[in-house]
Amino acid sequence: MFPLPACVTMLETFLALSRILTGVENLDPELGRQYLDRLTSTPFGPVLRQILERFSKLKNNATLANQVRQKILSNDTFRPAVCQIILLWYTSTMQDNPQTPAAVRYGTQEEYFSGLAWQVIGAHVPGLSGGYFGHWRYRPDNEPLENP
Amino acid sequence: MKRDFDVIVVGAGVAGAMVAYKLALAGAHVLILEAGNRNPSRAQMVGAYATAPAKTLHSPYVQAESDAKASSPDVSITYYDQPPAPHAQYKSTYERRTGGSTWHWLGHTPRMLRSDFKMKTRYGGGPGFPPAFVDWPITYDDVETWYCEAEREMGVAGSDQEWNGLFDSPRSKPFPMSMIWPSYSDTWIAQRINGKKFAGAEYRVRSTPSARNSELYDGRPPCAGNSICVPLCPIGAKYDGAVHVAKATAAGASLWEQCVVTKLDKDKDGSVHTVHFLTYGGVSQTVTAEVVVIAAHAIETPKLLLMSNVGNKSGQVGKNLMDHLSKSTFGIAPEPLFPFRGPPSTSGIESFRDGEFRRKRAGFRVSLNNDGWSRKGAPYTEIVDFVTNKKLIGADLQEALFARVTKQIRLSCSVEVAPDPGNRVELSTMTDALGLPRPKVTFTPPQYSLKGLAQATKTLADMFRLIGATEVDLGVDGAYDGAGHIMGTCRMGSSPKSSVVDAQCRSHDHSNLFIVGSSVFPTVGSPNPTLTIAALALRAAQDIGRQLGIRMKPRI
Repeated sequence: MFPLPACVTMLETFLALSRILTGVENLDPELGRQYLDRLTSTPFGPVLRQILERFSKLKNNATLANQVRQKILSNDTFRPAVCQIILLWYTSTMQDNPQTPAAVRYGTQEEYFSGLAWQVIGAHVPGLSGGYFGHWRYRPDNEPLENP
Repeated sequence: MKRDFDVIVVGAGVAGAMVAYKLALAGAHVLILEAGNRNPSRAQMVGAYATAPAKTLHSPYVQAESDAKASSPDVSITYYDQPPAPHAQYKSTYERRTGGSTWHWLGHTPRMLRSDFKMKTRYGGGPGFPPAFVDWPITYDDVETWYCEAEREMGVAGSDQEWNGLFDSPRSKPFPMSMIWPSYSDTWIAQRINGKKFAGAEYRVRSTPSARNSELYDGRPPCAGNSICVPLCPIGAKYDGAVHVAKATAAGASLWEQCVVTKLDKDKDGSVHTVHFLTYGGVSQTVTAEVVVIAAHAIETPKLLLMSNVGNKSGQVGKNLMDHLSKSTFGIAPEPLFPFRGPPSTSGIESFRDGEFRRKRAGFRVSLNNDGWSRKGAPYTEIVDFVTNKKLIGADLQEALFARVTKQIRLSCSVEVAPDPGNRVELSTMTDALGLPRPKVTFTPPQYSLKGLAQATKTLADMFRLIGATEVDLGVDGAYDGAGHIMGTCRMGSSPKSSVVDAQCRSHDHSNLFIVGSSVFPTVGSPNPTLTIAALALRAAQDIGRQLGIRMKPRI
């Protein structure tokens, strides 16, 4: 369940949508603000506003995730921006131009080291293991899918 | 005549730093001239890497002034003047900075084998054996104790049990540190292939010796498995040349950075005492020494000799440029192996490095890697594919990513390149920002090596079969990557007519000019070259000290 409060701000709406897209509940609001700023300053900005407007009109109940799939993810116009939101949270990368997906840009160091994809695969962000010598010999301590 | 210094070392990479340190420690008045600059703090470099749009070899080291004034192929591959594709390309690159390219090396330190030093005697004479293959003027036994010393200086972690006596190449001392532990993936693969045979050799997965701490050593911490040894160890657990630059300066050596050496002067008696260099501001200066040591690896060293018309009576300077042909192959394991953790590679297979087959084709090493399909864009490409094409979000996306990425395997090979005088470094008519000639590089992989690459690819395919991998991608036949192992161009030999330096790394033409580093390798085998570079540099330092009449510190 990702309860959608009676949210009013764009950031809160963005965070609520992001929880459903990433599957991660405890998203950092400050990172969310940074990602929202990055998105709105790119060609994704106008469509993002449409997505958030559409999202805010969905019913806040147990079917919310399915509604997102049907009303947002299935929309060919919306899907590249949806992918971009997930890429930001998972890897901190931004495709500046949806027409050239190979050209990506990272944000701040904090954003890079906060990428969620690595936890999902039981790894760590490259450059910061936080582990001890030899930990790679064993299965990961953070077995994936346990509330990354 | 009173000289400015006893010794000038040109180049502050691992070879130059080792020589400078040993001679300064013995009391010599040493100057190191380095074209590049020192790095900012390690934390700043990690930050630069984190925010770089492309995680290239150079991404942590970008510095506008030194990148422009001491450019290198790491800064821009077009620094090389080489024939455009479809002509074959030389693909390995380097940094010009204090500490050299060891800043972004992987850290692997296998030794050369006994036979690697005697290729012509051991395997020569038949059809298919490249005529440029020669014997080194020294043997494995001549270098063995220097290998031990290099392992101690650099701090090498390894398993004596696994490596002592490999292909008749014994070890007289144990590794300074116990081995870097194999990854979960290494162990899983070893359980499925060890003892099985292919092409007459038996698979045996070994922990790869590495100049990477497995414990606190020489004031540096043990490896924490941060996974970005290439391009930068975030904590200094991996050895780099800057370690010995610091030791050299602590022992009294002077380090002048941002000094690009442009010319060596020959005296009437044939000796070389005078070194000219340019500062970044374009000011030309001169400095003198009793002995000059060139340690600018296998591209900039011949370039400097050719610019100076020095050391080339043999006509061999610049010839026989080599590398290792590298190839990555990919597969999906039947179960999660959890890549993207630990050093990028912790184990390999040495079984295919030597044998009678080397009469007709090259030997090779195999590396087991821990970086999944990162070279194919993982996990970014998977995220985009799953969201865009499969319309997955939330827990469904997480499950799909886990199921895919944790099973990704990369196996790679590193194939011996035979010497060929046509593969060479010359002076380009194109110049750099200081007006100096850029290196003109010509390289075509010898057929002997391409046959080895084909055999290596078959071997990797067999390994994937044995472990039950699916979606195997062996790449394009004959395609290769550079291994970053730039070697040859100033070959060592007994005869002044056919080689540039003698067995002590001393120029045949100039008795006080020494050349250290991978440029002196007449043949290369298939191991990563840095340990041999360090061993030969330490050995040369002993001879330089003897020539200067300096009492060297006893070896431990």
